[in-house]
Amino acid sequence: MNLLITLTLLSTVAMSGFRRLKLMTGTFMIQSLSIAFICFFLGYETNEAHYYALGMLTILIKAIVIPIIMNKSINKLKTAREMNMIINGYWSYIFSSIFVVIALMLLKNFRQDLIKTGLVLILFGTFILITRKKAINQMIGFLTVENGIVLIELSTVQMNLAIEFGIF
Amino acid sequence: MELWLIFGLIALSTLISFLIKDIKTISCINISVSIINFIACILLVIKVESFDTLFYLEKILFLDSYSTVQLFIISGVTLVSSIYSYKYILNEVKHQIISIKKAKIFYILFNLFVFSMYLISFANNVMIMWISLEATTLATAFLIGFNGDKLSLEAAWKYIILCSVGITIGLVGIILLIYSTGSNVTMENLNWTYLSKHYSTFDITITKIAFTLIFVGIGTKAGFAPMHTWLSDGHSEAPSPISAMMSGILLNLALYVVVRFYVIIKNIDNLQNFNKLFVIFGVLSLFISSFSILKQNNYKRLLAFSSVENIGIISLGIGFGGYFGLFAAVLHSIIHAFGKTLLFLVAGNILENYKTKRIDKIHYLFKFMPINSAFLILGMLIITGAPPFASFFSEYYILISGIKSGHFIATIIYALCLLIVFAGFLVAFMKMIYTKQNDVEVVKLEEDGNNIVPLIITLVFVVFVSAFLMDIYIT
Amino acid sequence: MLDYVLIVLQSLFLLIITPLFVGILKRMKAFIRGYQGAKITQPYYDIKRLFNKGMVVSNSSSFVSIFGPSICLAFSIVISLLVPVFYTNNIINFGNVFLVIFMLAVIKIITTLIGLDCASTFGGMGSSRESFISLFAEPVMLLTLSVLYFESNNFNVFKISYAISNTDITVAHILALASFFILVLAENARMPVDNPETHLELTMVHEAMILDISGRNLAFIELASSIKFIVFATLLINLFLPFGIATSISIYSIFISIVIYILKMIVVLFVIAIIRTSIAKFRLFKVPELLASAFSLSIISIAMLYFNL
Repeated sequence: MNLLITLTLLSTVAMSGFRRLKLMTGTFMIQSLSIAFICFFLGYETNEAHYYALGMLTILIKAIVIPIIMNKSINKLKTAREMNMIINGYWSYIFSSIFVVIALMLLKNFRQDLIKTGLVLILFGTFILITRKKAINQMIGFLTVENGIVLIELSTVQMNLAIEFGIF
Repeated sequence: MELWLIFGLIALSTLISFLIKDIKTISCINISVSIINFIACILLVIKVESFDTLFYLEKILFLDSYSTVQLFIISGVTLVSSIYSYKYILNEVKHQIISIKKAKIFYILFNLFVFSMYLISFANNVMIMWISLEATTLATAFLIGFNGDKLSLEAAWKYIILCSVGITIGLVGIILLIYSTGSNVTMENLNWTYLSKHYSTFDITITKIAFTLIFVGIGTKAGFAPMHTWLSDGHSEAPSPISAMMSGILLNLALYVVVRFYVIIKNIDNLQNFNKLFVIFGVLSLFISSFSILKQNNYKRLLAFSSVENIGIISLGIGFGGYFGLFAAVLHSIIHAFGKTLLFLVAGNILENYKTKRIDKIHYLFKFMPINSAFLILGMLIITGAPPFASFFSEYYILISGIKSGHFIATIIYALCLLIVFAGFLVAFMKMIYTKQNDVEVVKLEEDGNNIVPLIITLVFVVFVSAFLMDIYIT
Repeated sequence: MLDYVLIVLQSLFLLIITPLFVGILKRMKAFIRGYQGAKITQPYYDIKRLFNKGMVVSNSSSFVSIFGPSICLAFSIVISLLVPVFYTNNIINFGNVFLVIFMLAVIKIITTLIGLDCASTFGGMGSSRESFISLFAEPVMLLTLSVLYFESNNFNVFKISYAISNTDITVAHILALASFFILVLAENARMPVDNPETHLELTMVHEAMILDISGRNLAFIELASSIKFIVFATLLINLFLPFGIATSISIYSIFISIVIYILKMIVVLFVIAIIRTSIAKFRLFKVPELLASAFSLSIISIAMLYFNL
C-alpha cells in the first residue's frame, strides 16, 4: 500500500518538470496504474466489489485508452516537447514542492494517507495546467487532478458505483 | 407526472435530432417541446406553491420554492432561445455557414444542455447536482467551439479547462463536506434535504475547508470575478441563443448550487460569517466587471462582463441577507435572465447582419435596424436597472439590505459600480445606435424584422415579472 | 571491544570487495547491452597494472597533482570505517552523518583541485562542472539527511541504521530513498549526469578532471572514486533499506547479513546499470532539474513526516 502511494507520488513529482510529451504520457500511465492497484488493494481489504470495478475502469480508460490516444496525437505533432514553459523545470519542481508543503500543513488534522496524496495530486495537476502551454500537457494536468479526486473519494466516502462512474 | 413529461420530451427531441435529417422539422419539434415543457413547468410551479415540497424517485429529485424559480427561468429562456434558434440555424444553413450535420449536432447539444440544466434544478442528491453541472460544461464547451475558427476553439478550450478544474475543486469540497458528516454514505445521506437537517453533526474545521472549496470551485462556473476569465471569451464566441442561455440560466444555476450548500452550512455555530464570502466576491466581481465594461470594444464581450456584474449583484444580495436581500437576489436573478437573453438575442441579430462584433464598426443602428435598436435600448434599461422594470427594485432592495446589515463599504462600492456600468452601457450602445457615419447611405435593412418574435416574447416575460411576480413575492 | 573489531573488519571487507562491485556493474552493463564484457575481477587487474606503471607529471602542475590522489584514497579509507556495512548497533559513538558527507565532499574538492592544477582546459572545465553539480546537490543532501533525523532522532550513521531497521517503512521514507538515489547518481558521475566511460566527450565531468593523472596516482584516484561510489551505495542500502542488517554479534546473523548486503548491492547496481543503458546523458543545464526533483521529493517527505502522514 505504502509502496503504491509512493509510486503515485513519485510519478506525479517527476511529471511536474518533464518536457517531453511522450515521457509525460508514460508517467501518467504509471500513475493511473498505481491508483488502479490501490483500488484493487482496497477491494481486497474490504471485500467490496465496487473497488474492483473502479480499478478496472481506471486501468481501462486512464492507463490504456487515453495514453494511446495521446500518443497518436503526439505522433502527429511536429514538436515532441514543450519548448517554453511559463516556469522552467527547476523552479517548477521547487514551487510545486513548496505548495505541497503548505497543503500538507493545512491538512494536518487528517489522519489518512490517501486524502493527502490526493491533495498532492490535485495540486501538482493544477500546477501542470497552469505552467504548460501545450494542449496535451494541459489535458494530462487535468487528468492528474481527476486521479487525485479518485484518491480522495476512495478514502473519505464510499459512494455508489453509479456516482463513482459519474465522477469518473 | 410533469417531471417525466419534461425529461421524456427532451430525450425524445434529442433522439429526433439524431434521426431526422430535415432541419426544419427538428427545430419545429424543438420549439414545441420547449413550449410544452414551459407549460409543464408552470404547472409544477403552481403545484409546489400548494404542496411546499415535492419528491420524486425515492427523494433523489425534488422541488421546493427556490428550485421552482430556477425552473421558471430555465423553461422561459429555453423557450425563447429555441424559437430564436429556428430562424438562426435555418439562416446559417441557407448561407452555408454551417452544414446540416453541424446543425443537427447543434440541436443535440442544445437538448443535452437543457436536459442537464433541468436536472440541476430538480436534483436533491448533491452528487447528481454536481454531475449535471459537469454535463453542462461538456455540452456547452462544444457549443462554444461551434464556429470552429481559431478564436472560438481557444475560447472553448479555456472554458473547458477552467470550468472543469473549478468544478473538480468543487467536487473535492463536496466530498469533504459529506465526509464531515461522519456518517456512512448511502443514497439517502447524499440528499440535500438530509444534509440541511443534520448540520449539527458536522465537523467544523472540515466544513470550513469544504465550503470554501465549493464556493471557489463552483463559483468559477458562476463567473465570480477572479475566476471569470473564461466567461468573456466563452459568451462572446458561442452562438447567440447559446450565449443567452449560458448567461441567463447557467450562471444562475451555478450560483444556485453554491447557495444550496450555503443553506446547509448556514446554521452551524461558528460558521455564521460565511456570508462575507459572498459579499467579498460580489464586490470584487462588480468592481472588475464594471471597469471592464467601460473599456470594452466588443459588444458581446460587454454583455458577458455585464453577466459577471449581475452575478456580483445577486451574490451581494445573498451575502447581505435578510428578507430584502434574499428576495431581491432571487428577483434579480429572474429579471437578469430574461433581460440578458433579450440583449444577447438582439446582439445575435446585429451580428448576423453586420458580421462584426466591434462596437466602433457599427453606426446609426437606429436607422438601419430600428426595431432591433429599440429592443437594444429596452434591454439596456432592463439590465442596468432603470425604474419601470423589476431590476430597479431588486437593485434598490439590495442597496437597502446592504445598509441594514451594516456593510457600508460594500454598499458604497456597489452603488458606484452600478453608476459606472450604466455609463459604460450608455456609451457603448449610444455609439452603436446614434453615431452618424457621413459617407454611407442610410437604408433600412430588410433583415431587421427577421427574428423579432423571440424578442417580443422575452419582453412579455420581463413585463410579467416586473408587473405580477413582484407583487406575488412582496405580499 | 568486539564491536570495534567487527567495524574494522567490515570496512576492510568493503575496501576489498569494492573493485568487485565495480566489475559486476560493468559486466551487467555489458550484459544489458548484449555483448560479453570483461571478467568481474577485471578492476583488480586494472589497479595492479596501474600500480606497475610509471608516473608522468605535467610540468605546469604543482604538489597537488602529486599528493592529491593519495589524500583522496586516505580519506576514502577513513570513510569506509564510518559506515555500517553488515553490522550495526546502538552504542557506537562515531560515525556522524555530517562527518561522512563532508569527508566525501573533501574527496570531491581535492579532485576538483587536481583538475585545476594541471592547467589543461579539460581539467578546468571538468572542475567547474563538478562544482556546479555539487552546488545543487548539497542542499538536497542535507534535506535528505534531515529526513533521516526526523525518523530516528539521531545523526549517527550506525544508530540511524539501527533505528530504521526496526521500524516499518513509510511513504516519506521511500520518497527520501528516491531522492537519495538521484543524489548517488549525481554525486558519483553516473549516467544521466555524466558518462564515466568516455574520455572523449566534451561534456564529461569526472574523467575530465583526472585526465592528466597517470600511473600509481591514477590507481589511487580510481580506487578512491570507486570506494566513494560504493560508500554512497552502502549508505543508500543501510540507511534507507536496512532490513536484514546484523544487529547482534553471532556468526549466523552476520553471515546472513553479508549475503543480504551483497544481494541488495547487486540489485542497486542492476538498477544503476539499467538507468545507465536506457537513459541518454542529460545536457549539463538539465542536471539542476534532476536535482530539483530530488529536492522536491525530500521536501515532500520531510513535510509528510513532520505533519504525520
